Amino acid sequence: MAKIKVKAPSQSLNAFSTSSETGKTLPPKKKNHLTLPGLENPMVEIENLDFYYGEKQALNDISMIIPKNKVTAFIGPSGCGKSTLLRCLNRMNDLVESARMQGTIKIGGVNMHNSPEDVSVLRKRVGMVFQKFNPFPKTIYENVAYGPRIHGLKNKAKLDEIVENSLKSVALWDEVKDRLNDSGLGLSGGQQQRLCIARAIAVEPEVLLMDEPCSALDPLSTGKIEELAVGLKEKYTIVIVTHNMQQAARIADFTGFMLLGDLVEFGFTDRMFTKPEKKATEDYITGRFG
Amino acid sequence: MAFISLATVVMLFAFLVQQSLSVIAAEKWNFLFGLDWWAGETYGALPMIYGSLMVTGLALILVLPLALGGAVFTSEYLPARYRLWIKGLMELFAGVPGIIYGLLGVALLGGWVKNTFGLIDGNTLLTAALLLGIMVLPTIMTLAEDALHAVPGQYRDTAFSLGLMKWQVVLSAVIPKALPGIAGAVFLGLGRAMGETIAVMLVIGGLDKIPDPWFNVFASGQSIPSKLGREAAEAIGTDLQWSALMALGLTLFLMVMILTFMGNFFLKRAQ
Repeated sequence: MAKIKVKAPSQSLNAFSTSSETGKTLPPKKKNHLTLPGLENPMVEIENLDFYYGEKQALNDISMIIPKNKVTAFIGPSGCGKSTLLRCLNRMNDLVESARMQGTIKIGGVNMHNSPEDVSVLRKRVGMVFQKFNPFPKTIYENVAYGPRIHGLKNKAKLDEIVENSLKSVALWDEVKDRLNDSGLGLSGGQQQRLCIARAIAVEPEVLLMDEPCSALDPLSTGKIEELAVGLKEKYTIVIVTHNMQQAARIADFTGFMLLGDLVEFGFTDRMFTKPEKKATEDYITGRFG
Repeated sequence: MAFISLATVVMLFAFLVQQSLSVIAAEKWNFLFGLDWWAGETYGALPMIYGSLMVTGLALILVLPLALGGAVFTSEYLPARYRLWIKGLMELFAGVPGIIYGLLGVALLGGWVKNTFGLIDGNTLLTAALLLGIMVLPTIMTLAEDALHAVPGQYRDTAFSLGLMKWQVVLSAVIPKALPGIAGAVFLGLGRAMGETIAVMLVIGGLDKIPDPWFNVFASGQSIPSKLGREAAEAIGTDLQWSALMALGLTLFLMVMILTFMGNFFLKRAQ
């Protein structure tokens, strides 16, 4: 597949930079956007992203474009920064006291700022599913209705509709429609994780982040979640972090390989798994380390 | 372990019942509903039952907003490094003996109540309630804080990831999840307040009477433990008075149990 240059997004003001406050001048950063066909329709644009836990730098100058309505996977060994990168996209890292972020992330072309209201709006647009399935200790119905309800939706009929549609989107509706008022914790592990996905899409996000969503599930449930991820990309942009390279190979359109806080390689999944450009990528996917 | 503690409770209960039999035989229902208690003549426990409920209830009403608000603030809003300071301080206060609070109550609180409300005597139901509130505040606050702090981070993360603001996360995800623990903290505080003897005895006024009107908290009163504390030593060896005091103890025991069970019942239903 030939590479085609796409126009890099225009340089925008550095939204998170603390450097201007401290007065330190940083060396000008090079752009290293990957330029691939299919990226013409960007959903998430990451530019020169650095991330620190205290003094420790966890992400080094990451720039990439995550295309709309595709599944993008981040792979790499433990501690490579793939979850940290994922959590930058909906600013979950803000909850870590010592965390610090520099660089720009645009979602749907919009640059997000630091006020709590903006972060709240961002998180509505960028939903998340966690590694350990974690329904609230509420009924199945209440779990899905939770987000919309707190965001102010009172209309019962509308809520019912959202709950039904969300549960249908995750192929859970037929299994639970007769027991919506049972506890969400009574479901099987795979069902609980699908309930969590339903809860996330009930607030109608544009991007859905999945942080190793299958690592606590059996192979059968894993298969269902993978099927779901592929189906959901019709409506959402999916970004998934996985330990499991086969999983990335099965479901992702694009894959990024990360190592020690660097984005080593990013491109079409099938190409990366058959003809990786970098030695480190090849070593990892052929099982030489990791 | 569970068996030993259960056996102890059962034996205690049986002993109290056995010791109470003679006054129950003599007074019948008048023991629970009688308004007069004259040693050697008649034993009506209602003023003491009233006093215990009034003082404990008032103490909880006064202190719960502060204790629970403090717990939420400490657990959810205070930076971690201050949290341990607050916790240590609360646990220190919780461990101060009742008599110390009692002395402070006599020295400071009684006078303050007297002057503030223009009373003749500062030893009132309100004084006892205030003192009890101060005494159980650290216990309730630190235990409720434990319950909030123990809510797994994933509940917070999930709520945040749905775009909730901090206060929405606390109200809709953290507090409901911690509710059983918070209720436990409140019941423990309640039990402690109901059973507190010496501090209450020093400031409640020691009057075996339901005030008129009944909600006049500026009147003196008597709680069950303060009655027991005052009379137990002089009643040893007498049959009926001793039995009446034991029955009073049994009543207190049952009151704490009933309130705890009721609390648990409503909690289960609320969830």
